[in-house]
Amino acid sequence: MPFAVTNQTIGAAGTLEDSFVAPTSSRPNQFTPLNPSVVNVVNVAIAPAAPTAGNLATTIEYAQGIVSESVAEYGTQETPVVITLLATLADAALLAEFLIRDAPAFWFGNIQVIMNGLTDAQRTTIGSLDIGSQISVTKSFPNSTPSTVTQIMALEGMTHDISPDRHIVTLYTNPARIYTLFILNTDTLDDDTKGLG
Amino acid sequence: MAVVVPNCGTYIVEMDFGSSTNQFVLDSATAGVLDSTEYFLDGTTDFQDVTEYVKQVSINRGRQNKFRDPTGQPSTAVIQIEDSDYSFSLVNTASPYWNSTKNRLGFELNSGVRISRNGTYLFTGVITQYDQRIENPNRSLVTVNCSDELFGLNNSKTTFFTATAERSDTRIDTVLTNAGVFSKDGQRILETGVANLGTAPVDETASVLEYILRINNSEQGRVWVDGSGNFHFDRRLVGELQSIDATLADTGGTAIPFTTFDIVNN
Repeated sequence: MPFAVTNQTIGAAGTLEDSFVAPTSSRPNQFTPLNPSVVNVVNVAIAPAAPTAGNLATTIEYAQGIVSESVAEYGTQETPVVITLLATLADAALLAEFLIRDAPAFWFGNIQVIMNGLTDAQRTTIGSLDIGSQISVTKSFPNSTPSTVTQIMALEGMTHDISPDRHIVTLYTNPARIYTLFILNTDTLDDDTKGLG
Repeated sequence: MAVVVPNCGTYIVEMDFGSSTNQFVLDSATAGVLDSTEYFLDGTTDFQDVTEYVKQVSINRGRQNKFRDPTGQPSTAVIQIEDSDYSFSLVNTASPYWNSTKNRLGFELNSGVRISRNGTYLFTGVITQYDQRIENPNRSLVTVNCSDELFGLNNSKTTFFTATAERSDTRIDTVLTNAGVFSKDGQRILETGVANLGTAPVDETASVLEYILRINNSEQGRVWVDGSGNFHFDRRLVGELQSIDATLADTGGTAIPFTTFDIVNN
């Protein structure tokens, strides 16, 4: 969907509510909205200049990214104005664009693998996975079209439950904006999971 | 002694008994003597293989949902020990792990812990809590809670420095250097950040971890510690070529089979 960025300012820094200026200890990623399925308005601020003798009420500048079609379809799903350490509004606009999720998406997550049932080579592969690793998951579905779905995802986390007779690994993933190489005569055009090297 | 889990591999759980027994202690008549050949500033590691006593291990690393959970959460491990001979007891002065200098058990807060499978570390961290439970008449169960070194970054304040315009990875490197953590060769694996940071003053009231997460708030990448205890900073991915590290499928062949999964949509 089309994406627009505008630059905005809000009140004097000295009169902002605490939620805008508080450290991030209790909520390290302040961009996380209450319903993150769709995020169609993102507000990324840059740190305001320090007050000076001639200007005590400095303002906060922020880039606001909006996907109007998504707002029309899902209602406004907006992040707070979050003050970042970014240098310029152009940097803030890039981050706002990155954080936009204009439509709900699904992905395969919480994937459980029992190590006992694998070959040595497969166990080695699973044992070497770590956060940031990229995996491909294919599932066939009866009575469903398409009958097979493949997703490529990055690992965000993992758990190991190890007892004297079994080792269960659970992989937590995200539908990252990651690309694999486009293969001529195999892949299809306009597949946004494939890229040119 | 390493333990073989059938059809899974060889596992070793190790707990450090050394650094807590020969660590330099200021003003101590025995452990605080300069030029001592028995006591050292940080102590020396002496990892003890305790695997044969372990009933169960649970390791939790990273986050479950990128859109709901913040990055930078310390990894945790919980080790359940069947203490059949009271070697891990907090009251047994005859335990082989008893620290006679401190007159308490050698496994304690901040002692090192390593868990490996076939020589690959699944977790490296320190003890954060050590609990012993007695079931009458004489069963002793010990629960050891551990966290990786990100946990420790909560316990020290950010050192002030004058921020200059720089990339996010450069700023994180400076913060870690000032804090004196992850300072061994190869212990920091920092990707080149996308975010260009400005000169906003460094928040001295924030812990090291808080400030690093503020930096990452501008980057929206990942902050994590790997199974070997190395610090990682991943930049945000905006469409890059990567290889597939593992192929999972329920369709047979050489693909790795899985048992359950969820179709997540938020």
